[in-house]
Amino acid sequence: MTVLDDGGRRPGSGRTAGRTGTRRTWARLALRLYPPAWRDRFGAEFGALLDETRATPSVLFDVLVAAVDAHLHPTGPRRRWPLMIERLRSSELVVFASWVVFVVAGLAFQRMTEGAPFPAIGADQPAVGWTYLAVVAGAVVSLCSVIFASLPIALSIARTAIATRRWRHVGLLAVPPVALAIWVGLTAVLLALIDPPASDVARIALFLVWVGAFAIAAVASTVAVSAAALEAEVDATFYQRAALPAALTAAAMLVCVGSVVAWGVALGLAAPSAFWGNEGILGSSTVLTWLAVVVVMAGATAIATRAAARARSATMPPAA
Amino acid sequence: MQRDTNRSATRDPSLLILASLAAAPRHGYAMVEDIAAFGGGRLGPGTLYGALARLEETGLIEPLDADDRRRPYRITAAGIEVLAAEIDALERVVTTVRDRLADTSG
Repeated sequence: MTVLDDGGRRPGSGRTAGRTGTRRTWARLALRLYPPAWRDRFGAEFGALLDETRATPSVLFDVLVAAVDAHLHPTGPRRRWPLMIERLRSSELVVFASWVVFVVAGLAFQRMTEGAPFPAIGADQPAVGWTYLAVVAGAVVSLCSVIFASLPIALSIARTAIATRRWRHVGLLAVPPVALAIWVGLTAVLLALIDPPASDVARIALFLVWVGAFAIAAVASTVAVSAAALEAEVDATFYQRAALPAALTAAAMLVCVGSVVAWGVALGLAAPSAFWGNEGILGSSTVLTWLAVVVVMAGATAIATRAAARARSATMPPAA
Repeated sequence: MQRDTNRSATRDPSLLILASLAAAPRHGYAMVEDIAAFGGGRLGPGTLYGALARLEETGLIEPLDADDRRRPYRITAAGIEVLAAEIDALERVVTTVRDRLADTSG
């Protein structure tokens, strides 16, 4: 088949090298205006055309308007594909971020219940003990689900990043382990500082530093992992496979928050003095600490459940 | 009134692209030159590729193997049908308007 060329009229031929260089520069800049999916499909050939086109004001305006249109109205054979991936990916990232918030509240609950008098109450009062175990079971299931959902995606991102030398993605994926290592190191330092019995004020300050460091590490890790997932190109099947564990994560969170509510009710009935006393974090009100934990957990669970349902409803495109 | 010789015979870039590809497969720059040569005006690169993306998505054209960075496109059977239907519609409009003008001047 004959492909008709431009009859040998190449606008770049005979021009100076400087003008050609200028055209290539403007072509590269213009390409950056377009969505990544569009650039993946049309970038090379569109760049070739731009290399051959004078950057007049009307051409610049044309390219600018078309770039805006490409963002507003994605077109091309891959349109349904990235939109579907985006829906799955964004929903699963919302589940992940909600789970991180949930974990922070869960750690507060754990911190409150690990000390006296709660272990003894749990041993004496089956309702308190069993609901506490249900919280632990839900937490373990949610952790396993998150690992099952996120690890294959993270490994895929890491493999692609190393193969294509996208070190930024490797760096983003390294944030969670590095943040965890820093936080563990900080914990060891804080424990050493507390070792010689410190004053109550010092203990509270160190505790707040410890919690604040954890919150910063959690936020930084969530943002970094989300950024890596949003920037990297991951096979859609990974996100499809993650939809079920994401739903399981939300379900486990639901069990957890229900169990925390039941634990508080059971505690209030079985040990009212502890429930209405000041056995909360840093000697605060037990009931207020419990309520704060419930509110944060319930909010995170509601968001995660909605996002998990959205992820499950996302349909895969037919095989090409 | 002075006639604008750069004005397109039609403003629809998709139709112009289909018309250009009806002769033979072409890549982007060749399409721009061809369309300008048959009086369709000079399509901007953004307009051209916006229309190419839509035409490819709707299956009216299809990409061929790229030659270096230039990728030629060819019209599909569906594209030929659409082009023929559009030309028929344009012809009806042209015939009607021409008859009316003849009546007016006659």
